Amino acid sequence: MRGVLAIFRRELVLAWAGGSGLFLPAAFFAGTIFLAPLGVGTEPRLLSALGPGLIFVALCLASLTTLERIFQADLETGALDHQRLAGLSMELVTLVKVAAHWLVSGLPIALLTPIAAVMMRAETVSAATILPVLLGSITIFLWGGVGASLTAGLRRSGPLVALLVLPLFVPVVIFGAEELNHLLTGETFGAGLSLLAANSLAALAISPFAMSLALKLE
Amino acid sequence: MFSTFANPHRFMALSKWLLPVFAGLGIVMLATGWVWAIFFVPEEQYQGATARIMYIHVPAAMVSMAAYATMAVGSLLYLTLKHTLADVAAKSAAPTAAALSFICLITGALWGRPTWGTYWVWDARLTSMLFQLFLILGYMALRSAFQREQDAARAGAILCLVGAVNLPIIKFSVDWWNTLHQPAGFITMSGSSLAGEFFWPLLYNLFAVMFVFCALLMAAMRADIQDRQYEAKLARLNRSGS
Repeated sequence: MRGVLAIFRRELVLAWAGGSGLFLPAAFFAGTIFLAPLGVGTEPRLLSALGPGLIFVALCLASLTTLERIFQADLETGALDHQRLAGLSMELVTLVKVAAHWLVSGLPIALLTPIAAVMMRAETVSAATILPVLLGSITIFLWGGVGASLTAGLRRSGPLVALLVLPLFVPVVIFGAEELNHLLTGETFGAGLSLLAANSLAALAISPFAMSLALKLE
Repeated sequence: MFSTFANPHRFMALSKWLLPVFAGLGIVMLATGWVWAIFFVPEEQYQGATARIMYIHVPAAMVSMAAYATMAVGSLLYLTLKHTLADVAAKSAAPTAAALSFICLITGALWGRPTWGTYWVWDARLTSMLFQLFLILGYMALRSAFQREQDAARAGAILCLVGAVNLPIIKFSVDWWNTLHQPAGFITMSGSSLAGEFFWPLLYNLFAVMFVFCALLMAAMRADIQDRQYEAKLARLNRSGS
């Protein structure tokens, strides 16, 4: 357990030391949202109708920007082999790496959601607005981690990862946008939130095994 | 049972005469099935001759799902038993699965134009078929990105299984989304259950496409195995030569 915690701390330190790369997905997310009104016009009814869906599409795209970083460097430098030889469970190691990655890339996006919702002229914005995006981003980063682990040994894997994981994002976009729409129009939580949570639990149960299997050496 | 047929040599010997049988059955049944569907099946009450698209569309949809299931079973057997033949089966089913999904989507669009008034609606079934096509294309793209066959096999198998686990969730979510956003925007077939005069030619065509799929799968598997045997022989010759 101490080893796994050390890896978690190492990942955070590396992300912090990476400087500007830290907020890259959040900046990408914000940029996508801010570009939309320039394209579709500033009509408030149109924007508030588009908002929830756009926020989730932007979340999916933003998550793709730094996916390949999760495992690639560690595989090349042999850090992953060391962690395996140290007797650590690879399921836990991969999960911790994705968790650290989510903490520095996914969480900032979720925290930006209220601002994005205001800019999309949503009626009611509260702290609860964060919740659907928070739950959805967990699923998105876990499946993204699976895509990253499958292509870790490849050079220039960016577009390929996008093709692999985008179909897996479908349920999150559907349930998430629906739930966010509920919240932004002043309704209470619906079934979408439970389904989002169930989805992230399923991803949490399956993805560590897929990731550790994908990164295993011959 | 698996171990009996998992031997590549036995597979090659068996498929050598099974392949022409499946191919012959598939071609003959497909030709007669289409003639049956186009000239002899009575016109559908509301859609007229347009409903005949069903005899291509429905078999393509069903067999493409069967082909994806073949890929998933092959991937599972490869990951658990490490048997190369299972991977060859999964790999060989992918192009046919993609082609059938594509045929299903195209015929669906052509069918939708006269009956629904548009080529594309975000209908639940159309949408989930579209994402199945994306999953298969992703599988093929991932495999082709690897240099070594073992790497491609394992990565492909993991992706295929992750996709197979997700496919029901995707289908469910798309159904859920569809009922929320599109309450009854389109016309379905007039009757929910097909009458016998439509049912039998459909079943016949379904078996025809199934045989074609089996023949294509076997041909692709045989080609892949022969390719491996050739590579192995070449490597042996190179080693003994130097």
